Amino acid sequence: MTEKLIEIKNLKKHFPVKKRWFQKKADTVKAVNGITVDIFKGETLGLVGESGCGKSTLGRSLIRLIEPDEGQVFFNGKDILKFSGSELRQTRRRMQIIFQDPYASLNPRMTIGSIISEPLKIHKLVRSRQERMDRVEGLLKEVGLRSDVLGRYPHEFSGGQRQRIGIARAISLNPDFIVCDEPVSALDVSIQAQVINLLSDLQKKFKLTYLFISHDLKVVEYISDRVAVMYLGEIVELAYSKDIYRDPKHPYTQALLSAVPQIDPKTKRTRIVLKGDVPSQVHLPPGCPFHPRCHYKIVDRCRIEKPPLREIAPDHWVSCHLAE
Amino acid sequence: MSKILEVKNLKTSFFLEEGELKAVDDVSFSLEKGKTLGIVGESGCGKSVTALSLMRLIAQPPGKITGGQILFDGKDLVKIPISQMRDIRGNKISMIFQEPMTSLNPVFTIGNQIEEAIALHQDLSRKQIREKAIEMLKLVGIPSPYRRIHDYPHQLSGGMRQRVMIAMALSCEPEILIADEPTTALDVTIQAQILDLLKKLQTEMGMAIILITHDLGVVSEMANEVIVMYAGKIVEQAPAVELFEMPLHPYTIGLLKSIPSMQETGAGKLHPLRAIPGMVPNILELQGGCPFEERCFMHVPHCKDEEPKLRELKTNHWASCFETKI
Ligand SMILES: Nc1ncnc2c1ncn2[C@@H]1O[C@H](COP(=O)(O)OP(=O)(O)OP(=O)(O)O)[C@@H](O)[C@H]1O
Ligand SMILES: Nc1ncnc2c1ncn2[C@@H]1O[C@H](COP(=O)(O)OP(=O)(O)OP(=O)(O)O)[C@@H](O)[C@H]1O
Ligand SMILES: [Mg+2]
Ligand SMILES: [Mg+2]
Repeated sequence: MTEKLIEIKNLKKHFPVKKRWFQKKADTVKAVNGITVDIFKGETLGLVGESGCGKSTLGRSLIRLIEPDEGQVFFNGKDILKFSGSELRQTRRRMQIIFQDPYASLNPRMTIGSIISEPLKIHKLVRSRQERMDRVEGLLKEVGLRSDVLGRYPHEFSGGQRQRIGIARAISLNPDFIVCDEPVSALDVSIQAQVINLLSDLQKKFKLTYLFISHDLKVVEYISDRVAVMYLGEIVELAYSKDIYRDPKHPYTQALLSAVPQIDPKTKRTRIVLKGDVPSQVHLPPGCPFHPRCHYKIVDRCRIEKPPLREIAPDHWVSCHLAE
Repeated sequence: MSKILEVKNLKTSFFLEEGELKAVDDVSFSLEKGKTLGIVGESGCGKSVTALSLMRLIAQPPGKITGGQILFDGKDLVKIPISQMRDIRGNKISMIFQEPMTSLNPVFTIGNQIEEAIALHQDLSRKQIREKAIEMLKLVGIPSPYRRIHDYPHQLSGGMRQRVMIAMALSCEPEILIADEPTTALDVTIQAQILDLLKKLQTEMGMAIILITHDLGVVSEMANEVIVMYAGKIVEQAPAVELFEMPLHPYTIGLLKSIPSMQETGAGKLHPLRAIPGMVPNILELQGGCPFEERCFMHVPHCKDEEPKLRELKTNHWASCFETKI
């Protein structure tokens, strides 16, 4: 599984904030601030991190729903940020996204049939009407919906069913890669389990590669091969799922894992409370971006020098001066 | 123990072309000062409609509260004129809505919106209002709040929007907070921070909370009492500790089994999660038997014929199932 499907190199996306009268140049929110990571063919890379740290921006920049400012994204060895025209269209087809919100991401005025068949038409993947109908019915079956739903509208479905429709739309163009941006957060646990099982089945069947963004650390652990932890626009830890959950090395990851609400009082851990305020994404702290909130005994180096991502154990990367 | 809110036999329906959809069907519960009541249940089972009914925010038509009482402050909220309800809303009872984007106005800055919520019920100067707005944003963990108040909703991440909504709902220091999936878009550290904040307000001001969430871990950390809903009805009700230790309704048992547990690493590749098979029934097509029958692992022929009533199977522990045993 070491063949790379996607290589992200030093990717950046900064959003300008309102300029104030005394400023020459507008400040920027550093939503994605220099991310370098590979995604292997057929794997699920989990992406977790503080709300607002840039996960959705990263996912959307990767497939060029947002144009990144800087960096490179290689897809099968080619830099797609350089693509335009038909080359871009071709690549877009192979990279899809499932949105967090099954309520807002489906056009309320389109029937389920047209929502799923529209991309097929746009990309001219089917020649006849009959072929299109067959394909749509096949897709519905794939995600566990009956074909009599074709003429109905999104508001007539529950959250879980809508999310299945979103998935059918995403897989309709036979993509290689899907960004799953919180695909199950809006669903209750029993439907969540159905959707996760569906995503795993489809992955096996079609050799799909996923970037799986979620706040639910249990779900991420369950579905991911590797997990990347983001903080203030950067990756601070990256490792195989079992390693990162068993032995988190970055103090932010440790705090995150300690805060998962547990049902069973026996498994409750002592929560590491992050101190201080959430830092500004406009003026990043000097040195290690996490040092103002760190529970380690920080040293001068943490305040001055930014820690690089280093391989602390085989395939286990962390950006912390003090981790060992 | 003082009851602050009592809901008796609440019924809310939507009158659709296909017929009457009984979204909330004979729901009763009470809420105590300073306590938290959790509501859980499958998507579409009527949790949000219950909450919106308490606020009298059901769109009419097609919706209507068709029966029952909502007793608060010596009044029945079902009966009072809507003008009186407006004074209670966002003042004594406030709500965090499930959909931040539909309840935040896209053309106003978030500062405007919080300030309006504060100004509506409190007599403060402009400067005090601004200060309070910034303080509230800070409390819910929004970075650089003095800068962020100038942002429009689309400039915020999903979790930030949700926190703005929470700040708005808390700014009037309500007696009852109805929180509909308040932390779904938040990472666990900020979630923990928000839950701590809610607990603090609860002990300091005796705020009571109705917490709707599908995160059973959150329910177990926050709730004193839990209601489980299915197809518009309460199917189980018990103190939180008791419910998680000994769920009695087969639906609740299935829910608890669907959660992936930590340290089952990489298991996604090995064995599938234990989902409850099948789909929620279409409420319009219910035939009178137990609504969970089709998906139930305990069902017997009788379940199709008669609908089980909520029974007290143990002290304070209610469930509606013929077959479950304690
Ligand atoms: N269109 C935009 N204009 C200005 N700022 C933006 C825009 N989109 C995102 N941002 C900012 O970029 C930062 C990262 O946002 P992003 O949505 O990527 O976060 P996230 O990690 O997905 O958070 P969440 O977990 O809450 O969804 C935030 O500070 C957000 O306010
Ligand atoms: N405006 C409406 N018109 C028609 N039916 C509606 C309307 N609002 C809700 N319903 C129906 O009422 C039922 C209960 O919906 P409700 O929103 O309360 O579910 P919920 O338990 O909050 O689900 P979720 O976990 O997905 O938020 C559903 O069958 C839904 O389709
Ligand atoms: Mg996001
Ligand atoms: Mg709801």
